[in-house]
Amino acid sequence: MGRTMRVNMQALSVTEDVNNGGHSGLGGRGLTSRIVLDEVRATCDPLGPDNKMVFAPGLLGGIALTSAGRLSVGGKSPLTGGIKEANAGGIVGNQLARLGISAIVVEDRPSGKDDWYLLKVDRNGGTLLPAGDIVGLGTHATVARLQERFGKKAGICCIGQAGEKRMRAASVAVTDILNQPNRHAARGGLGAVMGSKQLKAVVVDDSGASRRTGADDEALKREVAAFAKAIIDNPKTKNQALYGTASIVKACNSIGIFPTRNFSSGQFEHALELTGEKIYEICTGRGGEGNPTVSCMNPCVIKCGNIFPDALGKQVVSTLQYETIGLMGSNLGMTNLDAVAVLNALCNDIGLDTIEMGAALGVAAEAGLLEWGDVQQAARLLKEVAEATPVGRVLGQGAAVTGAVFGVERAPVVKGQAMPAYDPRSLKGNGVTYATSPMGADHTAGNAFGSRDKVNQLQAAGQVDLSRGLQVFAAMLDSLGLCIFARQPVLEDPTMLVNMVNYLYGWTWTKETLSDLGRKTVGFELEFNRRAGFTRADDRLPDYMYTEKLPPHNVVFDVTDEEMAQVWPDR
Amino acid sequence: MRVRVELQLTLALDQPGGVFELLVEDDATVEHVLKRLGLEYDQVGLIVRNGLSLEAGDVLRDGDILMVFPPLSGG
Repeated sequence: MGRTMRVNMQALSVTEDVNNGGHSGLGGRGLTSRIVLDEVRATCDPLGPDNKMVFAPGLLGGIALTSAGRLSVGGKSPLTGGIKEANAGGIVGNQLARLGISAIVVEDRPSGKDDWYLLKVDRNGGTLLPAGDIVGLGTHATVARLQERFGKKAGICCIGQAGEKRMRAASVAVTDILNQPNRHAARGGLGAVMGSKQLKAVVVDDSGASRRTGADDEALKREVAAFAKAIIDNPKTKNQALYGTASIVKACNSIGIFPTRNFSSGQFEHALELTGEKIYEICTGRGGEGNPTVSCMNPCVIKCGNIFPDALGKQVVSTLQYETIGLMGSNLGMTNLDAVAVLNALCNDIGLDTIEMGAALGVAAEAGLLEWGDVQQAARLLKEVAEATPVGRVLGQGAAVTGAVFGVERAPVVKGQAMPAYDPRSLKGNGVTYATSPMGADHTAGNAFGSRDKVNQLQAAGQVDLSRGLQVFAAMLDSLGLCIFARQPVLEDPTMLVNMVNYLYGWTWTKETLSDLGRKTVGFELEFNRRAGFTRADDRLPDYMYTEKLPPHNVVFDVTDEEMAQVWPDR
Repeated sequence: MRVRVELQLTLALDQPGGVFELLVEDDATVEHVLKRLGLEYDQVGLIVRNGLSLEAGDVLRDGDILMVFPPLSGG
């Protein structure tokens, strides 16, 4: 196991612990959640000095395994008030792993409230440097300035204006193989936690570091190659390469789960203008910088990303994805992908979660602050978030606060966090995940979409068991640093994953150890939330979803509180 | 009876055009129709009729329009 780097923002010190703080067998989400449970008082102010922020690559980071370099970011969430882990692709996860770092724990905050810093990490360790000159910049300008100073190849995690202003919808941006801050650990307001510590950026230079070698390195290399082949051979991979995460737009719309105009319908009349097929057509048809098939990290054989161009072929945003299309497209009544791309680019630069902001703008539209489908008005409101005007500050706190301030009852949130792009009334498994995940409403915590034949999406029966299994599985993948798009070979047979862990670390894990990792991780998180004061009363969808029928199936959410209590019966 | 099948995404790449009007027996199931197109049930993901997802044994009706998707994952 690697080293734990401790960064104290009050003492301005960086120290290292060589045995990973004794947390053997944990990485990624499992490790961030364990550290947060052990070290952060659950009742603390998430934006105060007692919260901590943890960055951790997964257990399989840095070994040149496809799609396994995701970076987990953890802490207490200012959005939900509970524990949070958000993870992102990009290049930083693999870089930290190659440098032998299991976790970076950022503690306390500076004495001077205008003193901003960046953390520089390289093979000699970590150093805090003044960063006053980049405060106020968006994520793209921040990265450009830091690359001038530290070189183009430096990997960077940073916040935009939203994080600096401690807004609850603020993300942490992570640079990708285009060396742009296109990937975001977006959910739960961890960008605001970073802002509260006055840490503008983490810059990682892994020159001199090489691939992590295994206890049985030849066997490890063979298994790494076999896993990549299994993914390449999987039929899902080609769809994801050509059409990206948005390959599911048409399917989600056709089965009535595509959020439309603040979650008032599961079908959008202009959905065919928002599909992955359309992204492909635009990226290839407009030429220039457009590209339908790019990866966010190296190596990744899936390449679900894209560079979405404007009419002249110039990059607007990378990567236009399903959740953003659902929340900032159909949910706002936007009738074309160009509009979604503009809003997405603004969120990426300001450092905002597109799911939270799409939901907040949907609530704002219902309140009359903008017209459905008006991209200019939506863009103006996002700019107000960057400028921190009073309205901008309200929106930047997310959908729940926006609903409260403007008197809109229909805020699609659980534990204060906005729902992703699957209406839970017509995809009930996701309703159970949204309600019972320790993260708040989060599809990556256990997505029931695609679980064909197992459980009828429109019926309550079977959803509790389905969601529990998916949540444990997701927590396991998040702890390994493996992308959920690489899950198919693992679902079919986890043996290769078990082997890779054993060949790398010299451990004797079994399939059971692997699923225990997922269960343990969720267990840490449930315990933190219990200490923070959460009860079963928090494991519910908003009231209107139990009574307001969702077209086209005209269904309400009807998994009962008693059934919901069976997701985590022992806590 | 007559049914219309609309193959989606990569399934449509494999069978140019991707849209088929088929004459099938009156009690034809989803699986029958897929076989006619050279597809096994396991090779496809969602099969949608009128907003509802179908299973292999579901019986079709005259005039049905089926959208057939490859296996998909939400990300």
